[in-house]
Amino acid sequence: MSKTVRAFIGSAVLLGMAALWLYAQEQDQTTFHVKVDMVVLSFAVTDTKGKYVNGIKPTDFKIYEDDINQKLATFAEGNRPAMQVLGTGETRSLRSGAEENDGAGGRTVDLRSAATGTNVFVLFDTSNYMYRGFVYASDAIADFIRGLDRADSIAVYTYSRNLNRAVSLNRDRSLAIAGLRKAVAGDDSALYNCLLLTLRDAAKVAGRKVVIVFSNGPDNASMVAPDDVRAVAEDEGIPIYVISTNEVNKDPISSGIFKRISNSTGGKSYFAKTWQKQVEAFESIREDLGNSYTVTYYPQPNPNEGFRKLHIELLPEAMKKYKVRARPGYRPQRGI
Amino acid sequence: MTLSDVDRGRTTPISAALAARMVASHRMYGAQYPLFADNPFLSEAAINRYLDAANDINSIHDLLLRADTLGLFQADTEIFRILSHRDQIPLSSRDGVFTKLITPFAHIRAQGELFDAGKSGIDLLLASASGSTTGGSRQKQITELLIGPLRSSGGAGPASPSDTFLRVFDSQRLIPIDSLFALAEKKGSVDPKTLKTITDQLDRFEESESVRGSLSQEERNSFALGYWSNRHIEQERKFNLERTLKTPEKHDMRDALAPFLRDSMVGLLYSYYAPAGAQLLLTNPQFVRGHDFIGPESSPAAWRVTEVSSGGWPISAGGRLIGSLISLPYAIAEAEQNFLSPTREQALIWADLVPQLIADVTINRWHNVKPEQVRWVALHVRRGKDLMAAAALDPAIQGPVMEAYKRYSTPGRVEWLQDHLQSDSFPKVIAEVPPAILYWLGEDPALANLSPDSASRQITLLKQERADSVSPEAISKVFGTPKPTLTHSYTPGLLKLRTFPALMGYSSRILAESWESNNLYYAALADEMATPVAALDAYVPEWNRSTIENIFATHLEDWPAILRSLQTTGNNIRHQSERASDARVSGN
Repeated sequence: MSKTVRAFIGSAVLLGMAALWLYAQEQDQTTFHVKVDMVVLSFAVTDTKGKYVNGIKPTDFKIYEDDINQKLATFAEGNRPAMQVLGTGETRSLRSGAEENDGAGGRTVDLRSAATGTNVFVLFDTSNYMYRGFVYASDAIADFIRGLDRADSIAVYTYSRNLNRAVSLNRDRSLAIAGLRKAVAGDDSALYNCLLLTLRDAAKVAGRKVVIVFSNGPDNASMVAPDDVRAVAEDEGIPIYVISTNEVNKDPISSGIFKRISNSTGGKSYFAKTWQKQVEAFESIREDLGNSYTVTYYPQPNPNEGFRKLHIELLPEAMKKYKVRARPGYRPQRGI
Repeated sequence: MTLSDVDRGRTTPISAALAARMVASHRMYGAQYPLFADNPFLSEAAINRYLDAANDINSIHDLLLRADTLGLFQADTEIFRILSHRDQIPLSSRDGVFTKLITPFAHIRAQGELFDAGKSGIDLLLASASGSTTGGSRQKQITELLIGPLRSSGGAGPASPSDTFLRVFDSQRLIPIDSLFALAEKKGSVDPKTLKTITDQLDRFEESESVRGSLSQEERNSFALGYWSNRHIEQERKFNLERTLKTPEKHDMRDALAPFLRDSMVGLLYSYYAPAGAQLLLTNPQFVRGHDFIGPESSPAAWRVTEVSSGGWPISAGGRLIGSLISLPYAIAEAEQNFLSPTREQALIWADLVPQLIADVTINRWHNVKPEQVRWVALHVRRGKDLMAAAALDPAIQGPVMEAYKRYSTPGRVEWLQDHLQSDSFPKVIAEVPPAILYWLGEDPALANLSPDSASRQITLLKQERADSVSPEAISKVFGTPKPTLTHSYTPGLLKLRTFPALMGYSSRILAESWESNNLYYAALADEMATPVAALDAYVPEWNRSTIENIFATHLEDWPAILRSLQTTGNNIRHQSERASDARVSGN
């Protein structure tokens, strides 16, 4: 492995960074500039009956950022290993140390980070609101962890007023379940504070990642608003799946937020009061992860420093009627 | 009692007339009196002028103008307080600077006047502290006055204070003050770069509003009660830069820009007091703009202490601060503490204790600490340990050492130490003694000639060579902690207090104020680890965060939990250093 590649692996900050200097202020003023890291975009395609569509190839679709066509770096379907996308749209396996020019600074970047399965962060509500049904919820999560693909990594976090990182990201299922079983319920609920911290952790991990929130819904202690947290998830490209243990009509405010957060990040929300429904929800998430596509690319030059709209266009005529679910866009990060 | 604290540092007590006025005004302005306690050089005329200006601000009928005036006025006086404490404003001119600073805020009746008052205040602070307002941007000058020369974090290590400061300021979509002044002065002929800076931030501000625009009707209804302060934000959103620039003759730019100037000045302070690992300040882009200086009609908050308000969804569009800026560091710490992750279950004493522990570092910031001061503290802590060791071995030494120890510890702890000092293992016993007590034992004149050792000899030498830097006042100023509840003052200091008991709420805060060990421990640790003194303003906030996250108290009176978590942090840092050293060796 070349020194260049090793250096990139060693630093998440440097991974895939293509700094675009969009403006400069006077020399004695602090200059902020937009940093555009490699974009990771997950999406699912469903037919008119809502069934997942598999077998789509990189030549079957185009990705646009603000109507600017993007050149794909990698492509992966479900839990299969990511493939390098060549200029022709053909794919090939990512060789050890596969690297590519980032197209901006002339640097090479390691593409294998996109080929390491899904990094799943489970955020489990252990606040006072979860006393009832706590054990069943824990069982449903444990079942989900057992059924994850071998390539996936799992982190188990719990929250009440503060976040508890019960089990850090790893592939040891028994460790994850042991950490989950240590959780105890009690205290206020700061769901959005803790979701934010979970997203920050997930953002540090390379490759595909998702956050699964298992919550009763109410929040009586957060200092951040849900939509500010949603914006972070959009920008970092982290789909949020929410399983609410409440009925959709019992708490319309939380239900509305859950739907908004999951829809705008490319995830899904479920309202599952019973244990059976919770198990089904997890099964659905697992299915979603296994049937979605993940692509990476380095954005083409774009003067827009604000929200960049993402659009995925299916090219074959037969696919035009299919529905694509993905995050609607993101805001590029700003650096000093 | 408050007046006694105001008098404490003054050469002559305040007159009966001023005392009577302050007593009469205490209900309204009492929370601001620590400003006078922190600045004992202020003349009675200056204090009277402050109270006059405050009364005048209260008489502004336009609530938006009054809120903006309160914000700018308090931001100016808070920056003055910071610079004075650091001796960046010469003592001889402080009274005059303070008077000049607050005078323009009397009789404000329009936003344009407020803008001018804010601008003159900034220029005055810069002129008084740095000697010149010419050359270089005001934004950079005032930032460097507050946090020191701008430096990047580099690759490894914690974020530099300037990186954190600049990120917070930018995350809040605030406009650099020079850009505001340039726009007000040059109007239509403002240079394109400045214009771009402003339009970019306004666009991002507008976009942050649109993120919230997707709220459901139920959500809007549910936080309608707390929506008042957003009138300030609504006022700013109405500002149309393009239209104003096209017809400069129809608009007084200063009127439109005064609210933005308030935000930028208040934002400097929010950025300054951002603790390590701040999340709220980086994520809620309207946290600064949402500061409610007036409060609801039913519970006016103007001139009151800063408080955290509206936590918990869906009561608000994110939490915000309410009241004056007088206790801003504590309130920010209180808001940000929920983003720390305890390594174990959250301790019972956590919520009331932690904000003060955070503020202990964000207020004094470890800025401009001198190497000899770090060494001085480390030597004293070592000397304290040596004395304890000598006491364990020699009954003749144990007497005077325990006599000194009694002054700093509770009878129960003294008894425990006496029982265990000779019978138990020394490392176990010494681990139970807070670093502050070790420091005071090392400093105690009555023990100075007892069992001389290497540390005591080095202390003597250092005192001869660096008498000014290591004077009790200098050490207290650099490594002390603020004690607003106990002393009505935010000036850091070491008071050699016994640790107060914790009973939750208010008393836990007093426990935190009486705990003076953290900064002394960090100094000793920095000396041991040979951490560059210039980098301590980046390292210590991270160490402090680690200490807080490791606190695990099993019952309400388990304050030694703080001591245990300090030691855990120290051990972790030592292990990290060893691993890094091993890696370097194997790499070679």
